[in-house]
Amino acid sequence: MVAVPAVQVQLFATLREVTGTSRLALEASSVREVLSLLASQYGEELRRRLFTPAGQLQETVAVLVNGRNIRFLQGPDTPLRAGDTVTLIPPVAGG
Amino acid sequence: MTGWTGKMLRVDLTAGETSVEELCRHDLRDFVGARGLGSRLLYVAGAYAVDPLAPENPLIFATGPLTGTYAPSGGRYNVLCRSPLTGAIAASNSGGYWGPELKFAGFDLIYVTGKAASPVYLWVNDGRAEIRPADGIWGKTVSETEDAVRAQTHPEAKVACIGPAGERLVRIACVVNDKSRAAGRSGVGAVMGSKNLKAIAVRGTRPVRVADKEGFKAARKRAMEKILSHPVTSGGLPTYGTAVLVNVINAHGAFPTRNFQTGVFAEAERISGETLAKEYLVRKKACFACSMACGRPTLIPSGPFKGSGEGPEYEAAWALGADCGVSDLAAVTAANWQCNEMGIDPISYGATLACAMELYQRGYLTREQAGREMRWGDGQLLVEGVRLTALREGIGNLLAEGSYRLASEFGHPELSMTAKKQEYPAYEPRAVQGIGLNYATSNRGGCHVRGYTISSEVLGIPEKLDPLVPDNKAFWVKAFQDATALVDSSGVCLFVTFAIGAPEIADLLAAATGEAYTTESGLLAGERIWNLERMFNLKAGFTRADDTLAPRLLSEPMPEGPARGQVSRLEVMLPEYYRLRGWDEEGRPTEETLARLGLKW
Amino acid sequence: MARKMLVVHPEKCTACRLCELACTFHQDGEFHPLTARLTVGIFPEEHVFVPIVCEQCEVAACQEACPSGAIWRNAVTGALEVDTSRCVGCRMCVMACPFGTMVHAEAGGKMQKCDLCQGDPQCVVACPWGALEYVEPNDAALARRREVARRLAEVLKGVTV
Repeated sequence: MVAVPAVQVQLFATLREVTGTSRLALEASSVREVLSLLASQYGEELRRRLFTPAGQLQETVAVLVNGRNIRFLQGPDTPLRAGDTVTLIPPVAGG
Repeated sequence: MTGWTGKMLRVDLTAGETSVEELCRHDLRDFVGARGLGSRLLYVAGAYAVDPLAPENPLIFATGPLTGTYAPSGGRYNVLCRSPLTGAIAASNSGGYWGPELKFAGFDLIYVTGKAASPVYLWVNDGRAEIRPADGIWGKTVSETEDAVRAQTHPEAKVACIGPAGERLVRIACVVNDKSRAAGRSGVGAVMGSKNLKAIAVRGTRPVRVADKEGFKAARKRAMEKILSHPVTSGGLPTYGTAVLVNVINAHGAFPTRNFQTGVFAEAERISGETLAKEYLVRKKACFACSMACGRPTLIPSGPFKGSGEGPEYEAAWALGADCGVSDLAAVTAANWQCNEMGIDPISYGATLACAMELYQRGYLTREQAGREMRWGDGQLLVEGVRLTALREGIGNLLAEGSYRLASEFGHPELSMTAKKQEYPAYEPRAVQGIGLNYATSNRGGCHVRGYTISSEVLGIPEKLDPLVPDNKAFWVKAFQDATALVDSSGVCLFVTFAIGAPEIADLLAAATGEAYTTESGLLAGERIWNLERMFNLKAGFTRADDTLAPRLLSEPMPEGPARGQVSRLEVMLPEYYRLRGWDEEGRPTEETLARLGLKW
Repeated sequence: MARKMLVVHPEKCTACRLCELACTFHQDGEFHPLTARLTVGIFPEEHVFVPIVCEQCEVAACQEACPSGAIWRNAVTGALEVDTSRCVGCRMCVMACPFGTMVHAEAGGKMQKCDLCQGDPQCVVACPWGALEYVEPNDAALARRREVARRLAEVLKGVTV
């Protein structure tokens, strides 16, 4: 049996307020799994911020794996390895 | 006139005279206002050939046609001159209430030349102006100056002034208005100081009018609907301010640390927007006519840095924090307040101190020469250094010259993280390719707000571009630069462009001025302004060789993080950029390009 | 049903002054903070911002002071309005008003004041943060009591009797 990788999840800005945490550890083998685990753990408010009503990842939410946006990897199917860091960024900007 | 007042106040400090002049309608239309109009006047005056700190260098305070209206965030003005830091054109943008007040006083801009025999301030009161002695005010800090000038003029007067740094011709001095809003970059404060001009107080009781009231109302409504429904402009910016980017940019490995030795700051969390909001934020504050309210009034209740003020913004949190290796947010916040009080650009100050720290780290600057230790992460030095720099005391006298001159003094100009001698802001060109091209080609030297490709390369607005790839970045850099020139010239804040763009700005401009601005003609005006600034710099002696980055960014691979192994691919992007701009291989606009833009040498 | 009133929540104000701009653009067709019928008091050192509006007082000093009987109450909105055909521009109302919300029109020399935009105050529409509300007084008072109660509840949570 293959062990499910243990990964670190980093949350920024409003996502911290919704979850009450800035960092947590999860076991997941893809970004998609991380997102659904989070949504089930933290309920409707987080689900609404991460996903469209149709269940797609929100355009305005950025997800990084080890600092690379999954847009430029394999999207939600991006596989994870033990020790990877997944970063979730709500829509923010500055300058 | 509507939108514009059509009037400029000319001030000759040598002669001690002021006069009111009409502005040329063609110039207004073609160069829009603020940054564009000011650049036009500088070019016509031949300011590219003057010594930046000589009386002949014009110092222009210019508003745009949307300044003073309820166009989204329509409260901006620009300070323009030839920069004493770069020798290139300087156009520094500020918010607050001062710009609109100038419009209410009946002027689009103030054009200052000459040098007063002794310190003065200018009192602009509803279409009239008076040059007054500033004897008891010279030497004061920004907030003291503002209070003193207001006491001598009018309780409702708005004040733009320099602090002790501008007085001492510190090359990274800024002009501060409303105590905590700054025309920050390129040393415009030193030019004001060189003229013995301490402050400009303005009181205006006149209206600003628009050509088409219903059209303006409708255009504004369309723009506001987008701004108020966009998650960034209605949520992210107001809630966390700009410093929310600390964690975001650091997570991308693009957060320059210890003078760009790496792109990851292990202690970023401690200086982040989230931490600032939790520890020191009092509330959110807006500039004139702005719904985004990204201003951060802050308070430190106890400890060595006890006090209150505004900020830091993202850029200052980075420059005073990660770039100097400082993770004590109280020290960063207090240093930012000191920068406001002394009238110093916190980006260039932090980056120059960081350069000194690296010189010290490598043994090029000794303890003996510095008069003290210059260690990474020293919060006390960070805060004290602001005052030393403003007063040119000890090591401060070298910091006051900016990092390029500092590093050259010790024989290592390659350690200055600058383009055209101006310090880069808070994004690593090795981790975000397009922003490096923008730094290299920015007409005012190292700068993010000439072409903020971070919006697309990191934040995904409006396009989603891979930050590590140089492909097609030339196209986007040009697009951002041209659109930004239009926005800066109109008088609204650049931050509205997270939600709206040239179509909305053009509609507002057309309704305000009665001129037939369209998306196309607006962007063409932006491109015209960009090329005019370029022509200024070429006449000032800049060449292709100046469109470059620090050697570290071009040849030393990023040591760690998501961009590990990367260097800036400027050599790939720059030729494409010249071609897209219609410039020759030396970076000079071709005759066809100039003809298309209606420009002449 | 009681007439609605302008209620100010200074804690939500960000000092952007959009209310002043929307007011004069609606009333006079120009952007002119000096003649806005409301003003944001800005105290940057204390980080406090307070919009001051006309309270449309039941016993109104402006109305009582007016020698020409030019100030009348709109029965629909409850706003006190200036009848410019009767106003002689003597500015007694300026002296009488405890809030300073009477405005002297530069053109024509007559007085102007907040008329609640005939029941749709544009300052309220323009405020991005809900710092200005147009509500019935008892609703406003009730909402304020609930807010105070909520804050008290927070404190009480930590108290064991």
